[in-house]
Amino acid sequence: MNREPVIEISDLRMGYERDKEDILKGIDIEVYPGQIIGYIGPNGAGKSTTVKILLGILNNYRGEIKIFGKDISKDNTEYKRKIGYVPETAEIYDTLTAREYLTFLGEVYGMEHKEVDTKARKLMTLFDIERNYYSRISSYSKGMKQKLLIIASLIHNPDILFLDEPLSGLDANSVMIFKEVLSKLAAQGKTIFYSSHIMEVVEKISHRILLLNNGQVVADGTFNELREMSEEGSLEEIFNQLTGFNNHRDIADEFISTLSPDY
Amino acid sequence: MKDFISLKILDKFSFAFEKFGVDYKIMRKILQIKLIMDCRRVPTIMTSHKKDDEDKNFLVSSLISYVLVGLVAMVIVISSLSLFVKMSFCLGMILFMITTTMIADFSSVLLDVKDKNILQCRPIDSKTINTAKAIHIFIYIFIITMATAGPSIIAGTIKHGIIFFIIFFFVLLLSSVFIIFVTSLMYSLILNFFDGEKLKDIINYVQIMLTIVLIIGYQFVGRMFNVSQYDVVFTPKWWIYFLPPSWFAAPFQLFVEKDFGNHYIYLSLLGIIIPIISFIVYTKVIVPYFEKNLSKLNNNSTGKNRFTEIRERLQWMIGKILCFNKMENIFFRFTQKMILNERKLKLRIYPNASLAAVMPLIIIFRTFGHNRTFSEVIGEIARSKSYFSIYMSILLLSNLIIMIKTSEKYGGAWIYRVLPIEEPSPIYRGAFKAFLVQYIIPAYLVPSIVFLVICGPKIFIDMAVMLLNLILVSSIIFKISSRELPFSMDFNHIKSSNIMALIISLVYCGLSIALHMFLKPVANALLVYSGVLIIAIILFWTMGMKIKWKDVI
Repeated sequence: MNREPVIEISDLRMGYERDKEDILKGIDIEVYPGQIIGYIGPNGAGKSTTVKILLGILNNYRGEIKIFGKDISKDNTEYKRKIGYVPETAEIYDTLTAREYLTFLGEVYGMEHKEVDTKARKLMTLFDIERNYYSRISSYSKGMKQKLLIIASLIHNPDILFLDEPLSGLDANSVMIFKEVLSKLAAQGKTIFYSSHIMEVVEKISHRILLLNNGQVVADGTFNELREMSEEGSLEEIFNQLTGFNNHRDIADEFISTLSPDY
Repeated sequence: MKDFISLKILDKFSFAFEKFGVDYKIMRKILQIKLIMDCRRVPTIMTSHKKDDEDKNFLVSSLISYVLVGLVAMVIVISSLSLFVKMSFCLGMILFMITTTMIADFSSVLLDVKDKNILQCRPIDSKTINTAKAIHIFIYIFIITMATAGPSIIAGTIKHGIIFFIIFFFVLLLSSVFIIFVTSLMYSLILNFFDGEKLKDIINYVQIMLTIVLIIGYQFVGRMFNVSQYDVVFTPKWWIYFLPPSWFAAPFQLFVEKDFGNHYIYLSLLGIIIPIISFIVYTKVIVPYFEKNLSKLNNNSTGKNRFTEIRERLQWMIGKILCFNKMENIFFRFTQKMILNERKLKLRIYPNASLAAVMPLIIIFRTFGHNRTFSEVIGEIARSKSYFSIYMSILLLSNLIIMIKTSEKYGGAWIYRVLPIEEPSPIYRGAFKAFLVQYIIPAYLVPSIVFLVICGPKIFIDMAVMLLNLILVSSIIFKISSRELPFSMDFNHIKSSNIMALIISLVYCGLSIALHMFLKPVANALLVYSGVLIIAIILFWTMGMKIKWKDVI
């Protein structure tokens, strides 16, 4: 590939406490524009930590990270203009209304108030929640809040998107819209970092899959490459095999026998 | 699991519940869970001093406040006022306390929608659920009533005999019914005309009002003893029929004093008939209506509101005048919206700001108020240097600025990291200015305008000096506590930095008073002083407020 990578991570290490084992144990990734990357791994593998480091939320890491060709430990503000983020837990200043929240974010990204206002309202309309544009976010249902987070991450038309379980709570129709939006964005040359536990979705939308286990990248490639590598059928099975988990049947049996001992 | 005395007492009546077809065992379990949850809920009155890690009933600890109110009521009962007047006062206080507490703290019990999701999908019949709810409310009303009315009952019974006790008992019963009716009627009406958000706003205002009345009311407790020595001559007027406390006070006049005046008979009849009617209306109309409309609680009105539009334009204008930097301007408006929207934050700010606003006036009228006419008092205040008591407001207000760090939704602070903001200084500057404009300066203006009216324009320069001092000391405290970004901390984190801030503002205010007093007689010295203060503030904000990302947590 002759294009420049948008994200270059080399030997990324990170530990929350000094004497404890590192959470990230040397990660090397290069990401190119136009890729949708499925970023998967078991709970506690270090997925969210990596994303938080890339976003600049955590900064006591070791190793080097370049985004748009610049080291983010040196220039830690400019690159954020072109990054969007949907966090997994919808922690948000929800006493504000959607309008207040979205225009605030847009203005920080350097847009004019009127411009964000029109844009935000239009996007809310497309997601069928324009009725709630003027109401407090705290009154939203889970799906509505998720739609708002998605809009908030895209309002400034970023080049890189970090999505952490972005579909949770969305209805089937909205899921279809959003998946289509993602593939269109990727076709435009935007990079999407898609982290999820729902393997079917990751399998379908990702151009490339990164499997993280215990702080290390254990698999990296297209879905077909992964399948050849592990000789398993679905991404779920590949996931189980690569993370060394094969006793799900035994656990399920025990679960059932705990519920009804005489069964 | 923890057991409660109230439940043990309830156990004695279990047969009665069983008789009405209530599954007592399940109802007891529901109540137990609810009481445990209540232990972990911080009531409105206690917000300023609390321990969050202890599993003890907050209601019990907040009972102290109710007992204090009860003691004041007791002072009235043993005073030499005529029985009808003092019982009206006493019952008025008790009714006020119970009503506002009902609205402020038990709105969560009355308006519980979570209940439905958790309990109604289980195999429990609705009779048991509804009885559990009713008993739950009843337990609390009973405890609060006992705490507030207890001292009066004891003192009154000693003074007036057992007949007083019997009447008090029935009056309390009737007035509790009346209160439940009034509160739920209020909720129903609000829900009918407005949406859930509006209702939450109104509950929030009642909470704020309750806290303000309590905080400021305590400042007057001492004065109560003086007032109660005067004898108020009372002649019933027509409007007395519209005051619920007088309905419930009339029976005392009737049976204890044996005064069978027409007014007292009619009032007593009202006191019996209205609660009975309201009980019937409550069970037949309001409860069913309420259940139906409760789901509306999570609804939200949509569309633009004219008022918010005007408010927004005003914020734009003020922001333009005060903030030159674009990022600062954005955060100025952001902060204004946050502090105006967040109910829990308002609940903490408003009572303290109002106390700061009226504190100098309380001090003045306490020291000057003895046995003098109003104009004498005013004249005396105008001649004295009593306006220096505004430094008391400065002390209280400058401490308030720390509140800006806190938010109910402090988790939302991740956006600061994700957004492309080069330096955090504009965030702080915008937030500080917004807080100053929204709360601190308005609260300062209340006592200073009162003093300006009393003392005339000659103290204008003093007021200016005080305002500048207020801004400077607030800036210093703000700077010291600026390791955390606005709205990024839980409310509980505020305690430790509070003491530090208090010490700083104490020292600062002490020195300022001394300097101010010293410069006062010197011609034009205060003018120079304010000039120096303006320069100090500008220097502080241009040089002192350079905050880097690495300094911020």
